[in-house]
Amino acid sequence: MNIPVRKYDAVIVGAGGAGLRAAIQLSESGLSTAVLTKVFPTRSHTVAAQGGVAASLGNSEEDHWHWHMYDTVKGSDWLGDQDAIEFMCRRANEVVVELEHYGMPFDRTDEGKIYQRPFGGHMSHFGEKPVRRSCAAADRTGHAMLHAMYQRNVRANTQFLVEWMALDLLRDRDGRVVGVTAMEMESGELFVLHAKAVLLATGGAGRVFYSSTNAFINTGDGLGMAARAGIPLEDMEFWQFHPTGVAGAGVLITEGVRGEGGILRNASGERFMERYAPNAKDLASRDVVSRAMVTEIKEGRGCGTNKDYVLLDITHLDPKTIMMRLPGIREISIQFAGVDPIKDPIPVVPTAHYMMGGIPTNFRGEVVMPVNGVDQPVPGLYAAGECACASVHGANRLGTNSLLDLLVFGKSSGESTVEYIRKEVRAHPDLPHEAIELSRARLARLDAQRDGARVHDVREKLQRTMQDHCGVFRFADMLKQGVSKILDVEKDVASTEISDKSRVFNTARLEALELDNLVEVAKASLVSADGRKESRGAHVRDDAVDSPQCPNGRNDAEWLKHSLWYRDGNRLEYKPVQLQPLSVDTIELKKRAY
Amino acid sequence: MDAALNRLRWQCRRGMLELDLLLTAYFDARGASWSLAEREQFARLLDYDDTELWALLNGQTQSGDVGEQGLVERVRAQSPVRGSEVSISYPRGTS
Ligand SMILES: Cc1cc2nc3c(=O)[nH]c(=O)nc-3n(C[C@H](O)[C@H](O)[C@H](O)COP(=O)(O)OP(=O)(O)OC[C@H]3O[C@@H](n4cnc5c(N)ncnc54)[C@H](O)[C@@H]3O)c2cc1C
Repeated sequence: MNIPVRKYDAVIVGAGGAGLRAAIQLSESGLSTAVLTKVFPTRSHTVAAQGGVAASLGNSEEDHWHWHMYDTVKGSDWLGDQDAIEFMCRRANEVVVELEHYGMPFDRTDEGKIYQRPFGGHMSHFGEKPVRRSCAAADRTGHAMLHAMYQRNVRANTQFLVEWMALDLLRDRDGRVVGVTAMEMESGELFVLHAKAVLLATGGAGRVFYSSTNAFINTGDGLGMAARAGIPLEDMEFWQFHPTGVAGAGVLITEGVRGEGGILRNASGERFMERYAPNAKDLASRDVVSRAMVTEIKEGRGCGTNKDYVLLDITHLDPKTIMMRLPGIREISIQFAGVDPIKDPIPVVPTAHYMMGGIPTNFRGEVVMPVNGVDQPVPGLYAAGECACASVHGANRLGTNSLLDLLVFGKSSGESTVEYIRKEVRAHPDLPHEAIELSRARLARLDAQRDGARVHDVREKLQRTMQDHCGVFRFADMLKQGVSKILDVEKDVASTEISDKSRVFNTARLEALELDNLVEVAKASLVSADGRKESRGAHVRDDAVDSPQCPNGRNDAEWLKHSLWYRDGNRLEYKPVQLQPLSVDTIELKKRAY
Repeated sequence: MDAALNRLRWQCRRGMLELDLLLTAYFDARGASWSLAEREQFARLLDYDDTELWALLNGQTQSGDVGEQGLVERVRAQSPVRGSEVSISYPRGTS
């Protein structure tokens, strides 16, 4: 079979915040750059981000990148790499101001500077008091960001391949990445996109959980592509759960609701947060609230027939306040929970929100993997955004640091790609035909499969397995069972069958191909979670005891290291955390308390 | 499903989960029986930006076009989870 080939200098997979930022760098330096995306660029998941982007501009009060760095290291529960964190926090002002020049309509102070608002975990003077550090464009920060950067790319002649799905990385015998295979949805045809370098910016993979705040497109495609090409995935056990997702639907209810006076209650109506966080109560940090909620549920104090959610109560607020300050929330609650929060409390559960792990990179955005114990770049491969692990979020991400990550590492990965293409590759390297064959075979298998499993059923089994076995609270035996269940799911994934075999925009086929990626993410998460015998950041292990040596069950003596999961052999390796920043002193290990 | 309908099905995929849930539920319930005019009207709705579409579907704004506002109301009424039993399982009741 003849597969059509298109040639570019660089191919970027993903047109969310990270992909668009990287593309600006490449196109503006004159390289021919194709950006692939499953959905129109401004419909990427970045559009959902409302909270803002962190930068220590100091427009509202004194602030410093070093304080931001401290908060990020502490937030990460010391698992973040301090070189990458310094790099990100120092470059924040530059990338935010650049974005302003691209036309981003930030909220303004009276003097016309970028207005900054407070956000959980942002402090000044190394954790002393809250500081206003988040820059936002009303409640449409992500949306405005995508628009500003999309326009800039159009001006720079970036070539968008919209409604295209990348399938596999083309990696040659020497380990170089020289392109991707991709399917054009409109024709259903397979293409080879031949490039001197490839940059992955495919976003998160929250859809591995049954309950997630993520949009349906977040299926971790870049991670699946990397894993199939022999590249390990880093720190995949670390998932951030947002405490208040609507039970069942997953839709996020913002922290603002508790800010306005919302109270969490268990089945007997008790305001249980008073027991877990006597001072901050319902406004304690995300992980504290999530843990408390799961403890209530697991000790039998959950609500409903299955006692599997708690209630977020705003019925005591004046209906006028609700209508005026929280109109969107009332609507969400009516639509997705079937309750009017003016009259009845909203059923909520901690819901998978953000993937801290991903494709391992350094702060230059180069994908790296250990060779004889030392990290080496994978030639021709770059990654940025939620699919990448730089690692700045470590075991727990600080709110608004993700949009910053997209800008900083979108830019740095773009710069590195330009430099590599200019200095290291004269002509397009030869295409590795066996790698192309892999994609062709995946499609052929799907077309030929008989008596196979239904994609929808297999995906649900996968999501239930992750939900039940890899949540906020983790138990040794449940993790073991989870690993064995997911290996069963993997067998089903290998034999999925689609009844609709049509070519054009065949959602069933696309979902089957996405499932191939979800299963890699799920295996990586469960195996890494089973491996790590401590509590850190976003999750708690039942068997990790709290002691002076191991505060909150965090065991630095044995576990201050990154996990690397390899698809081949379904095995783990570990690598040290980079504790040495670029120019300042190490932020020393401490117990994480707020 | 025919190609044009397949395309609309895919385009119900958005950047916001709220939209995924509402649009997909409505499409799955009604899409197969649409007339050509109804398809075109739905396609036009999908052309909105995510934030605009969400503002319409959560009632913050109204479409100036009566026909389109009618469609918005129908999508809103086809709530994906309303009334259904919530079921999220968590490990163990004890320990
Ligand atoms: C509800 C919600 C609110 C949030 N609010 C904030 C906030 O206020 N501040 C903050 O800092 N963070 C926030 N986050 C996190 C943040 O929004 C995300 O981490 C971030 O937007 C991810 O951006 P990205 O560029 O990496 O990926 P995305 O924006 O998800 O883009 C991924 C791109 O990859 C494309 N793609 C994927 N797979 C393929 C494939 N196989 N072929 C072709 N294209 C592909 C998609 O089409 C898309 O264009 C929030 C997250 C959620 C869920």
